[in-house]
Amino acid sequence: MSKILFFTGKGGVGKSLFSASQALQFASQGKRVLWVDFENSGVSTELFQRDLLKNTPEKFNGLSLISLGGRESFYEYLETVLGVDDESQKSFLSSIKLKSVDTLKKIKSLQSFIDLCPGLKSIMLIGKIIKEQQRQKNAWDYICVDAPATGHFLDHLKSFLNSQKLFTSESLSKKITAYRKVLENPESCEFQLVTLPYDFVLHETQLLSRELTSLGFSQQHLILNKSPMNRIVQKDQTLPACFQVENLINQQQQESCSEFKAFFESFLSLKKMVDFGPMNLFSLTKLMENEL
Amino acid sequence: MTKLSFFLGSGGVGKTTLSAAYALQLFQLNKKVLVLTVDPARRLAELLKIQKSSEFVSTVQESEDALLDILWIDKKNAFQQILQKYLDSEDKIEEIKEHRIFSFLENELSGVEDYLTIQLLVQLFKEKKYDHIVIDTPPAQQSVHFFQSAKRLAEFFSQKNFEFLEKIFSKSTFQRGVSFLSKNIFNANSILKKAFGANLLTELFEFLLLLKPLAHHLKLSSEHFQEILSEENHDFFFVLSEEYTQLKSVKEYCHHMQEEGLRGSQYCLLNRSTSKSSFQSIHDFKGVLSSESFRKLNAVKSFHAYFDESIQNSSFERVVKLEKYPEKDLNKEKLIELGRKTYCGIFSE
Repeated sequence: MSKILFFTGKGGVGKSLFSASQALQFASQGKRVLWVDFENSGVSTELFQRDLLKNTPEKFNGLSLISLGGRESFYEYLETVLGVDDESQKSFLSSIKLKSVDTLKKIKSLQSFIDLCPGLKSIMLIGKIIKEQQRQKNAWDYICVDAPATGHFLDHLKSFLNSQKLFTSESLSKKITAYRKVLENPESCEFQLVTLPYDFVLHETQLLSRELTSLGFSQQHLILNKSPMNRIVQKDQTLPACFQVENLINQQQQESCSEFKAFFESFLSLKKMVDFGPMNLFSLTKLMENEL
Repeated sequence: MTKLSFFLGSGGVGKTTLSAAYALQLFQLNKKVLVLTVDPARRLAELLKIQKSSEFVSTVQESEDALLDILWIDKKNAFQQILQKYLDSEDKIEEIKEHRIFSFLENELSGVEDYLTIQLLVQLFKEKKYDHIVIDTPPAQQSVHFFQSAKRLAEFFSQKNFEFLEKIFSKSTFQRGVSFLSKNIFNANSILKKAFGANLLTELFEFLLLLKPLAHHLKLSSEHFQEILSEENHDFFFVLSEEYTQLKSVKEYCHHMQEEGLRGSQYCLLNRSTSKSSFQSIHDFKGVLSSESFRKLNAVKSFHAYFDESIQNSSFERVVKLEKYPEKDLNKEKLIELGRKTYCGIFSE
């Protein structure tokens, strides 16, 4: 079965880098991997030096990249709703005097509805990811999702879960129930929480973890980025003042980590990444391969 | 005139911390200041050591001439405020609040804060109570949404669009048949009915009708916000940290904001920067530093070389490197110190 990995956490903790690096590692092991930019954040330009078209997969170093857009995902949903087979799709389209799904995309009033309808985007984006997970032919082994930061991601999940109340259409409602099961099942979906060794970031991660659990998603893993080094610069009077601040920060980070030890242990797994300074995707991936 | 100071950048670069520090510094300079965060995170309140209240604005500190207030962006509160301002009867407000769509809007939706913040900002700007309003914006991509949301809201409430939506959703469409509708609207309506069922559309329409009295006011204030933004008086602080990925995005982002029609001054803040002397003296202390530290400082050194080179040809009026500070126990004194460094770095001759 293919597995979705959502990478989330406070802004700036390294979600995008880790999601991409993990995807590259899976690909180098011969797995079929899809990397997803959840809401067309454009991060692929920085990560892969690629500008992705919305909802159009592209190959890169053995993996597939996709950037999702709300409107585009809605059109994909429509195609499945309008008819399971070509025949019923055509008959519906002809009943409203449209030639094809492409002509439908040009309807302005429909576009403004998609942009403005509350919560619609969340459902379509999450729905699209699950659709990829459920593909039979050419299925993926892993789907690595570069998800938005804490609050925004939770909002998307909540919108998705609550949308059942809003959308009274029977087929959509059933679908959401089925999709929810996929998200709750540890075999098909995991949440990778990325964090940093600062108190306030760890606190936010704790809140995020609790909220995810309360929504029914307890299959969580932790990635501690920029983890303090074991052999830190010892507090040494012979060092000039400029190293003292660095040193103090290192020591405080180690203290924080030991305070949060119980929290770290509550996760299914904990991955620590030592702070080696500014990084790009390839230096990180190389580093992680060496570490493992 | 009230001066707006926006703090922009990717997530986690320290926008909130710098906003709080900067606001404190302005207070020290005897200004009347309001600080607010559009991000749902609680960091700002934690930093200023103030409990979130049900009030709209809480005072953090005040003196004879100066004032430091914090504005709470709370979906429920803000909705209530806007409804009360623009609707004359309590009954109408109740009717909206009891609508099923409203409870959905109010509780579960992302992006609602953007719209609300803009409404509030315009209101506060008109009141002229504050010398400065310091705004901690959402992380990069979302803040583009934030700045566009005024435009989108104005568009949504344009008379033309409203009539359009009314036609799509109106009950008569379901009851009377569709012969009188334009083909375009008829198509959209059929498609949506097929996708979501007719009930939702009727409900949405009912709700839109309830909101209609607000339309004119919301449109006006959205337009007003655009006008405010296009004035040259305001400051935009682009914050980044020592990461390659952010360097490129900050320049693109800055360019993007100019395209959006923002005219104010733009400054670049490299936050949590490793002190220049420490990466300059790494070779002298090679034996003392652990191999990891040595490696890390070397990486930082090459980052700075790259940063200095690539920032040279940018449109920033000033580039300031703010040295690292311990995040733990970031008390008020340390925040004020950080605010002072930021302010002096940007505005001193």
